[in-house]
Amino acid sequence: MDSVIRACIVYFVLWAIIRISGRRTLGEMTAFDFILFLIIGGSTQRAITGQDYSLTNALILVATFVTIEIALSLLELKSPWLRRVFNSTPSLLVENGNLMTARLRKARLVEENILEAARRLHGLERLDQIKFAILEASGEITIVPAKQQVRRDTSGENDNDRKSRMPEHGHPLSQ
Amino acid sequence: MDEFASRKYPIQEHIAFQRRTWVVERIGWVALVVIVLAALLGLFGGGPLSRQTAGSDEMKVQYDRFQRVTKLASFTFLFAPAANAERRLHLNREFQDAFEITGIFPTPLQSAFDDGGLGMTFSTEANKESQIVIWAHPRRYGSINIDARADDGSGFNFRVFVYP
Repeated sequence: MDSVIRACIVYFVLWAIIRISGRRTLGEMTAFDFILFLIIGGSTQRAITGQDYSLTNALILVATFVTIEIALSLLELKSPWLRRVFNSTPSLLVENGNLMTARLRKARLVEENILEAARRLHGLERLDQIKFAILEASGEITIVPAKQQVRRDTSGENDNDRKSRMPEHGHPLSQ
Repeated sequence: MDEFASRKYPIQEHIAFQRRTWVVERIGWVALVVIVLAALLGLFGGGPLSRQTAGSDEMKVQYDRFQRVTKLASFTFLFAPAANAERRLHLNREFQDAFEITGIFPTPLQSAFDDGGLGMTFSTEANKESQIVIWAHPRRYGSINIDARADDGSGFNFRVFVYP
């Protein structure tokens, strides 16, 4: 009985703390964040198992965690509100090249975070090359490039093959 | 368009919900800071708010008012000088039930269940202050009411709270 209650408490307390810490932590996980999560896991592990290292206890705990997961996923299917509560909701950060500064501040992000995502995902350099930047529910930033900008930068190429824009492959038309 | 209006394209936003989330987030941060500060002060055991002294001049006890299940705790009993070199300490049954005693120093000459609790006799020095330390792990959580009595029947009550 104890084990099930412990597992439930730990599950929801951990969930609440991670949710409070904000999705920024989840999406933008650094090497140190990863270590931090390991430490969090290690410190809660003893509280969950107590002094009972038996196989039965391990089975009870695993069964409880998986049951909670399944139950929550079923509840989320039924209720969009619960889905938002548990998984957060996506929101726009850049709209047609315009930075939504108040939202960024609330989400604890700065312009550089968006530009970094733009470089990483699409090789974009400037804010005006971004049509939409979205902070996804998962905590990642996704970028929708502004179409005209991409065409102009590739100077006349009409395919969308990004490889042809990379300098190391040379410019197919200039050869 | 107002920055905090929900967009429908390219994604369906729920900005009202998102803003509530941000508010809850900030309340949560405050709560976390409060928890850390309370822990530093000893509200969860082991700090200035926790360490207490109870009793009278004849017999005192130093203990942690806040304890945690399975975490080793000490109870230090101090006896004022007396002519008798043998001291008796009696602890109630609730103490016996709630704590797993791992050490009593000095080791009692005699330990018995009497008068509905744990009765111990110690060899000490006459006319000098003496100290008895009991090390114990709390085995259940909640409030535990401990009753301690000395040889002459004088005694006192103190209460510890054990966190789960």
